[in-house]
Amino acid sequence: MTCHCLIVPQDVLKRFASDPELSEEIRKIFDFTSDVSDDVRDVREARRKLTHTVENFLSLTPRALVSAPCTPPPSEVYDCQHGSLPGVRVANPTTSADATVKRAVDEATAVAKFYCDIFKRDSIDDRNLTLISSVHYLTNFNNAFWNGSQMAYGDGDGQIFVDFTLGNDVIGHELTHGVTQYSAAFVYSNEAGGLNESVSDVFGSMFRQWQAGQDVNSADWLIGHDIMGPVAKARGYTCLRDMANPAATHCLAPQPTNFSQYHAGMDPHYSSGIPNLAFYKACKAAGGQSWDAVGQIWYKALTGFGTSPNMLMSGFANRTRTLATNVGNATIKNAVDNAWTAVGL
Amino acid sequence: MGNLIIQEVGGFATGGTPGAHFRKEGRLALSDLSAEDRERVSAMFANPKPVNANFYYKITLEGPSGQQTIEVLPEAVPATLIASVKTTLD
Repeated sequence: MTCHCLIVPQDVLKRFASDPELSEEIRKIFDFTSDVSDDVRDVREARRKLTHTVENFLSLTPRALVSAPCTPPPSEVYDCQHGSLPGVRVANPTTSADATVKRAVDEATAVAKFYCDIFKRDSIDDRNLTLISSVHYLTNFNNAFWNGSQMAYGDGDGQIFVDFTLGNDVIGHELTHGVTQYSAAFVYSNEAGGLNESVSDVFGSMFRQWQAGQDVNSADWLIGHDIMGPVAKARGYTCLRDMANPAATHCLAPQPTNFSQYHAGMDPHYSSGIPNLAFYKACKAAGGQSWDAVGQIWYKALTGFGTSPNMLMSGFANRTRTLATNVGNATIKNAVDNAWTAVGL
Repeated sequence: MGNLIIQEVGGFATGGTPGAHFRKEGRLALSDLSAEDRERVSAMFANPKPVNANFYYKITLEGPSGQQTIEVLPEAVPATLIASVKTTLD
């Protein structure tokens, strides 16, 4: 879990370490703590880099040689009690009287089951990694995020947004950031950042459709529909993003629909509209359920080639085209090819 | 003394993208901060580091000599700055 020593700022530790009014023994303790804090921050970045290296290596090894059977991963929930991470661990979250806690653990477990049943993936790292969720993060926090190790969910302000655990696509989206971290490792900038965000919307939406038993025609393809607060709804907003119509006026955050609109440095949450639309179009053309064929292609494109931190959208598109060709079904091949062509890739 | 603009970036519901109907921003005067928080802010701007994260804060310091913007992970941002961020709808 997140290191508690980060709570005291480094400059404060160093000030106490050189305070002549403190005993030498106390000053040494602060000096040691300062060094440890530096090391902990470095460990976090080193962990990201190590994940990158390990994933590159392991991707060379057939999963059958290294895998254990796919079993439900442990799932822990922490209550931030309107403070920061990590919070206080909740005993028995599956039977908690706090609905937010119960949703966090139930839906995280469901996402893991989705990945196991549909993609044969054993938790977000494909090695049964414990899922960690912190709820009641800060006060009226209008967001949810993955911090490299865990998910964090805000309660919303009750006006524009409501409790973020109310959206099963939110939970699927955030956990998929973990999947991406442990597979392609797209960075959070430029085209790779847009792919990172898109993949999370894609698998978050697929998870939502899977839970509801929907096919590509009955799905609403809306991202964040269930976390819209009364004030947002009253103004006609039905979602954060719309994979079927990224530029729609009912979106709180409209997005571009064609790669011709892309420019370097574009916010990944904005540029993700382009690959989102491609996935939607491919699914609609293929028919059935989104995870039948197109979802499998997207999963393989994300996880089957080792790390690709700075992948371009064109590279990802061509990767899915090749995978679609290998399926040996003209409908699927054309669905994927035409979808990317339609968004300018 | 200078002013701070604090923007929340990333996560599931990032605001402020082109055409977005909501924004997440806070504004504080440096003079409103405690001495300890001013020290922390000063240290952040003296040693900015690139961020590659799903969620972070973009903090802009407006001063007599111009503007400087840095990206900072949440655990490094003083609680006062985070608490100043408000979500507004068009």
